[in-house]
Amino acid sequence: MALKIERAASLILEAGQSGDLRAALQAVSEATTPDGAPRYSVKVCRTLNRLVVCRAYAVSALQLCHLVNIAEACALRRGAYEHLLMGSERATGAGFRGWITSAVTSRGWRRAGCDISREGVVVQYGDAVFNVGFARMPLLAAMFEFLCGTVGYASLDEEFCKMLQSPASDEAVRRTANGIERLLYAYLRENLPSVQMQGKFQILLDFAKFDTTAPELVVDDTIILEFWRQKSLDEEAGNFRLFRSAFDAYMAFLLALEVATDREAVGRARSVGADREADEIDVAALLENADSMDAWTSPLLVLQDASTESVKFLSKAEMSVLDRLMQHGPRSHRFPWSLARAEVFGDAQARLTQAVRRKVDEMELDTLINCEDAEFYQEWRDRLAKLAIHVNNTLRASLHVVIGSDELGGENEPTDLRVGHPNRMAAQVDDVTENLPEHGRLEEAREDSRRAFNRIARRGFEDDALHDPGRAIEFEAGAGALAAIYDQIHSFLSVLDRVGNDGTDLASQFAYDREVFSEQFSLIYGARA
Amino acid sequence: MSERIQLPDDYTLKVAEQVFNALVSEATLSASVDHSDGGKHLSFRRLYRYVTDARSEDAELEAALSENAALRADLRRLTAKVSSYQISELAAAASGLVAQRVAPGCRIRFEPSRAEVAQTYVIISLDDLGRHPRWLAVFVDDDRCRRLALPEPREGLIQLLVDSDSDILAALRNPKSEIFIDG
Amino acid sequence: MKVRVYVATTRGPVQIERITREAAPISQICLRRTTSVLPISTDYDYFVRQPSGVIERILGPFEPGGFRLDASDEIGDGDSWQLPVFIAHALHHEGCLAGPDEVPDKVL
Repeated sequence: MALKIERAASLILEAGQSGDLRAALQAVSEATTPDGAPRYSVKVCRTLNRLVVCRAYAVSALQLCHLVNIAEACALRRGAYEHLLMGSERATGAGFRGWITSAVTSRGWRRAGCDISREGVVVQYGDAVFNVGFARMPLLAAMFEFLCGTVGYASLDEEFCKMLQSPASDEAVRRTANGIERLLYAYLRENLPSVQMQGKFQILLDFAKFDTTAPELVVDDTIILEFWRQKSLDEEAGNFRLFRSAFDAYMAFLLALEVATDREAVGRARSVGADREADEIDVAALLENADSMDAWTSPLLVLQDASTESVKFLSKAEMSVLDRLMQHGPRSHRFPWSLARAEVFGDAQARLTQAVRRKVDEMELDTLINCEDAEFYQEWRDRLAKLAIHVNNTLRASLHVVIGSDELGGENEPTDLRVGHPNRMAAQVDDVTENLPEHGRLEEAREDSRRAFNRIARRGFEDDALHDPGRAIEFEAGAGALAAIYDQIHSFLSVLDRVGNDGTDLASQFAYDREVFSEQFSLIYGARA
Repeated sequence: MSERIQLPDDYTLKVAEQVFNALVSEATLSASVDHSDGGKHLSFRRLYRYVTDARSEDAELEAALSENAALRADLRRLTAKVSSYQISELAAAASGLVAQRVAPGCRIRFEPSRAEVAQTYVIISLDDLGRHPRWLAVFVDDDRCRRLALPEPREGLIQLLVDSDSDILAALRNPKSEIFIDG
Repeated sequence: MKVRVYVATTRGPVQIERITREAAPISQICLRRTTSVLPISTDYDYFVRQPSGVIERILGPFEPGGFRLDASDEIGDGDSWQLPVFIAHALHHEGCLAGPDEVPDKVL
């Protein structure tokens, strides 16, 4: 459930995060395999970011120490854990399983107490048993790489070497984990200060109190706009100069409230928190819990992982258009005008900000302040609708590979494509075949998906995809994401159209908003000519 | 269209604020990572590749190593970890250029060329004939490093020809240097 | 009498400038008297050293060590260098191999 702020916008807070810290995280996210694919998945990189930001690295540090112990116990070669953690291939659970299994098969364990299970490696320390899951190992490798870039390899290795003098000691492992935590804590104290977001939460809360006496918070399009109009000129309120910042802040605010009102999850996070007496909460655990429930997660994250591999479902430009809508998902349906404003006038403001930095002449500045080149809401709406069609076509094309792989896998000829595949795909079958008699539906769906596939000339949509089981898995994952994307666009457009029909239409709303934004821009950036 | 929420109790608001702060920090960090050009930061992965790949050349990394003592310390430590042979500095009594360097399983000797007086052979003898080391690294003062890719051994012997006034030879014959050989 | 020996290569004739017996055990071919050792040196060492090599077998015994052969240019893959190199060694053994600064009586 990470909130991702639009790249072109200023950030809500530049909280003194150092260049070194950013560079260390970037080094992890940019690590590649020999053929140029990312070594770590987007999910692993996000999780690492979260552990760092929430300072919730204690458990991972301990797991890393156990993994180092395991590596040294199964490989004869010097520098075993470095070779395990710095491998050049994509960091996956299966990859780590393969490395460890291969080492044990050829040389056996160098000492007793370790065993490979289905999920991971089990290490016995006297009466204590510790399990490191294979699925966890990519994150631990990312964390190791991050630690090398921050606290330094020499300091880290010093700790590990002390631990490995007593490899069968649980106490030694815990001591090492504590040592690593201390190193990282000291580093983050300098490079990621705990800033209370300049009281932003309180500012957002106060503004959302509908009535100071009523026990209710209200956030709607009007309140978000009014908030921005006031706070964009108020430097003491923090950096709400950009409309997008105000919008994203309120989305984060509402999400935070949603997460915090899950009593059961909060109770669990409190019980494992660092300091129960001080009412500390393990925020990372709370957010992790929210991610793992049915809460909305941007389907673009799936495509960002898959498309950087071998299939280009959507281009970067297309994903950029959808970013904000997918990030907030169903919540954005409650704020259709705010989303429209964030996209259209947010874009205008980004150009204006760049122009101010470049110190353009007054005429150009006035054009931008007046939002003369702003995209009409109708145009933006139509662009989204067109993208929805493209997403749908790509989804249908993906069906072609998925159906083909079902057959490749020796499955009984599927009589119903709606079984075992994402709902939208099932709906797609219905859409295409609804007027056909049942026996013709499968063939027509196949034919439709084959036609759609042949019309796409993008990476991954080649005939050899039909014979590659690995590629079929990617297509299935991608198809699920595309289905969710299509549904979101479609639902949002329905909301936008309904709001337009019930109240102010798109053209009128745009005209009004343009006036409001122009006026505000002139206050923020300079007088209108 | 709106979102209306009963005003939560103070404790829930406190939790929400912590979650909000985490979300915003996370987003800030992610966005800045996406846009960062990485500055002059050289990743550990790059160092690892430099150490483990015999033929690796990385002018930018080498420039950074010449300026950054912590990076050199990492290089030395990692080199020591992944090497198979380590020849430590000689005892304090040794001075001047040495004729050979010895470690268990490994000996390095130096022979001047008769054909060219300004050239010297570096001859590495390994007890384990099955080894095929790919590189040699020698560390002198302040963790400064010289590296050499090694040719294939012949019956446990590796032979190199270097200029007699070269830095690498001076480092190898320096009794205070530490030598690591891959394996 | 001094004889200059060339190896015919696809890039033109390459002179065998000098052969020296070195204390270093592995025989190598160097480029133009520099420290640059040609890749073909591995084959050259096999060609020199007993029991596989003909040089030591036919022209030996020699003091412990190996040979250094200095060539004026690169010598590529293949075996065509073997005959001229053998001849050069034989001439060197008799003190008849012409160096690059000497005026040869014959050229092979």
